[in-house]
Amino acid sequence: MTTSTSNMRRNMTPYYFLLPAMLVLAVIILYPVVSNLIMSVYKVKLFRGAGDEFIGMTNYAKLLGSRTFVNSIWSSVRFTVYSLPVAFVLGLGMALIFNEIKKYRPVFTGFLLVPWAIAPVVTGYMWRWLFHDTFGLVNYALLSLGIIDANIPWLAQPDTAVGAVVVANVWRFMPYITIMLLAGLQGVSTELYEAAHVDGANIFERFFHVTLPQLKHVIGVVFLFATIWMVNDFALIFIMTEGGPAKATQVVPITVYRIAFEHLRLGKGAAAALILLLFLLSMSMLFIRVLFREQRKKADAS
Amino acid sequence: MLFVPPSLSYVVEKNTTPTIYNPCSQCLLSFIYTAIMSLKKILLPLLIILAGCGGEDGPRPNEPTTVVLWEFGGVPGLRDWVQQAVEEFNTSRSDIQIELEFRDWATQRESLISTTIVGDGPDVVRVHHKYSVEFGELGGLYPLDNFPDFPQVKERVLDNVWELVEYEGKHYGLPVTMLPFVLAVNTDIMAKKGLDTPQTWEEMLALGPEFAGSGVDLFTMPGGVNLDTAYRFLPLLYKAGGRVFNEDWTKAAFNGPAGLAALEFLMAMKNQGYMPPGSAAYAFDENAAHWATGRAAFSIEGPWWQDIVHGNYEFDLKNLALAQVPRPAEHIGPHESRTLLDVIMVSITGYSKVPNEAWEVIKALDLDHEVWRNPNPTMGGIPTLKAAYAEGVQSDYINLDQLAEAGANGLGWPGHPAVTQVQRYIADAVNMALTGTMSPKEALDFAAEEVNEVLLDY
Repeated sequence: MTTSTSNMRRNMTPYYFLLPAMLVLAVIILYPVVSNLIMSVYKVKLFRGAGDEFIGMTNYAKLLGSRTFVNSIWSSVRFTVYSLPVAFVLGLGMALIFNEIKKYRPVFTGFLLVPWAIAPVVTGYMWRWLFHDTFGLVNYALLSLGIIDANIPWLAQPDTAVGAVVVANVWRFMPYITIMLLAGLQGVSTELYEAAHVDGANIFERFFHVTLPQLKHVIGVVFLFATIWMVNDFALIFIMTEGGPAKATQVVPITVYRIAFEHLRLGKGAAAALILLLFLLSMSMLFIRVLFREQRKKADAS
Repeated sequence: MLFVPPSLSYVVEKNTTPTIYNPCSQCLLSFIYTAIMSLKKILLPLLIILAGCGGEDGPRPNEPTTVVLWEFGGVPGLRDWVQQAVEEFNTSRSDIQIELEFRDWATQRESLISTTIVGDGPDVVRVHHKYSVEFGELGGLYPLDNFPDFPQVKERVLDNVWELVEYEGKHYGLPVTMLPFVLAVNTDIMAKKGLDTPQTWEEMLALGPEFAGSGVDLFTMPGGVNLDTAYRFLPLLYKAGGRVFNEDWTKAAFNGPAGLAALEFLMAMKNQGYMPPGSAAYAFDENAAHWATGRAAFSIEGPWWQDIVHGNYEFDLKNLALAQVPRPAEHIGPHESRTLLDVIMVSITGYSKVPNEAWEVIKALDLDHEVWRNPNPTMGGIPTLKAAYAEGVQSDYINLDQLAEAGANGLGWPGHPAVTQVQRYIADAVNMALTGTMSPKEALDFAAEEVNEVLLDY
């Protein structure tokens, strides 16, 4: 009996250490999420004194039946799917180049970080004016090079506006991806490259059979974080286009903002935010499953 | 002020502090609710203790009362004047001191929402008149009718502007400046082409071919997904005799014949290349830059325009004229032709602990100060004081007569608590049409459907 109690105490000890952290997490994460969940099944009348009305899943049903909301999901997906691969390929390319630079690497890395360090609001305004149809530098450059013969209203046409926000987003995200991959590259053992070289592997074979497999986990983490950030992105797009034109760039966070804070429908806004959260959670879990599949297999085998 | 944690919901009664109530009657939710409430039992005392460490509330005896004034942006001249007037006030008064804070114009609503929810914030705000209804209803603003000298104050201000700050018989702000919407004309462009300012939509469209291929647009407007877009559509709607809602405000009416004609007029200009192709993404600044750099002849603007284009873009004011917004040659109706009028008001917040001192501040700064007796272009709008239009008053305003005429014929946005949402839907509709995503009728009907759903809540 005494041994059993002692064992139990010993088994519980790690949980006692975890308790403060769990409490903090409960207050700052669980509490808002649960509040949000509850709010989403009510028609919340913030000020009017009439009391809230329990409406069950009505907010969710309305949202999923709303053309605007469904379109905004599509806009979010499109924004992420267009941005992420481009940012990744460019970021990987930059990381490979930077990995070869031995001299002044910190200086270059510092410069590279500038787009990532600038506040999204500033980035948004900067790109908004760069893409301005009359005064923008983009049109000026393209006209000067003879690529176009008339100004393009980049932010006034749905398709070009999507392209413009993607370009701005790639510009902002690429440094983060570069830095992460550069850190990963520096962890790859040179012996692996030497062995591959001895085996007669050319540069492409070394890249596909040594570099990429060694970077797999870093790439997974980069994709996971970048996806979450891009799907959640609000400031850059809102400043550049406010979700327009014709709602072409109205991603889910902008829709949530509109519903909750412009239209003051907090219940519906909470439901929309929760749908976004569920979407991100399921995607994250999928990523993590894929990412740690091998470790899990090894663990199972042992 | 005690912080109230975000709860399941709040009920903020008019002019009362928020009270929390339990809306949970469902089993699972009740459990979660109870858990949260238990958590509050721990957190609340802690927060009270923390709040208690924050210092004393209210002035000590013989100390001046502080009145916090939030000045929401406006034109640079107004900001400079407010700064100076507050300094003068603080020097001249030992009993009241003003604490001035400048805020961004675009953050008015968010600021009023958040401060009203927590019941703490500034004592005086200079904001758009439309918030008198939305926040008057919510208890976020203090009715000026409570002050015994209000009738005398009311007497000194133009009669037609009071209805814009009134809700259910009470007045929630002192109207200080009027902003009637007029047509801003670049007279240099018109003179070079030998053209006259159009009076009707048909005349305006007829001018279009004169501009084709010249690199100068006939007309420019902010047509992006922002409220400025709705503000350019509404003067045209009003001119055509349309209104935002039906008679009893139960349904949208902006999608009626007048609204459709107004949007088709804009579309005709867009499709025929008389407007900048990028206007469907323009907000106020882009539009101002386009017009003020001589790239368009007309824009629908107001009294702020003179100061903005000269101050920000060094536009030569000799080339600026103001005229009435064109109307359709044949009246569409069903209402009389009007133009859009906005008013900037100064209000006392509903939770202010010093409303009497705040009223003193308002009277000193925005009623008795001499600046309001002379219409001054640097203040962003024309004054609402009757004294400003007395004989012999000098003014630097260009075409003050046109502004005054538009002001006298002005009609504000409907004083409905949901007016900001309605403006958003109208802006979306105009933007949808301008980008060619929907036809004018489809866009207006879609927006009207959304607005009708909103109106069901009231």
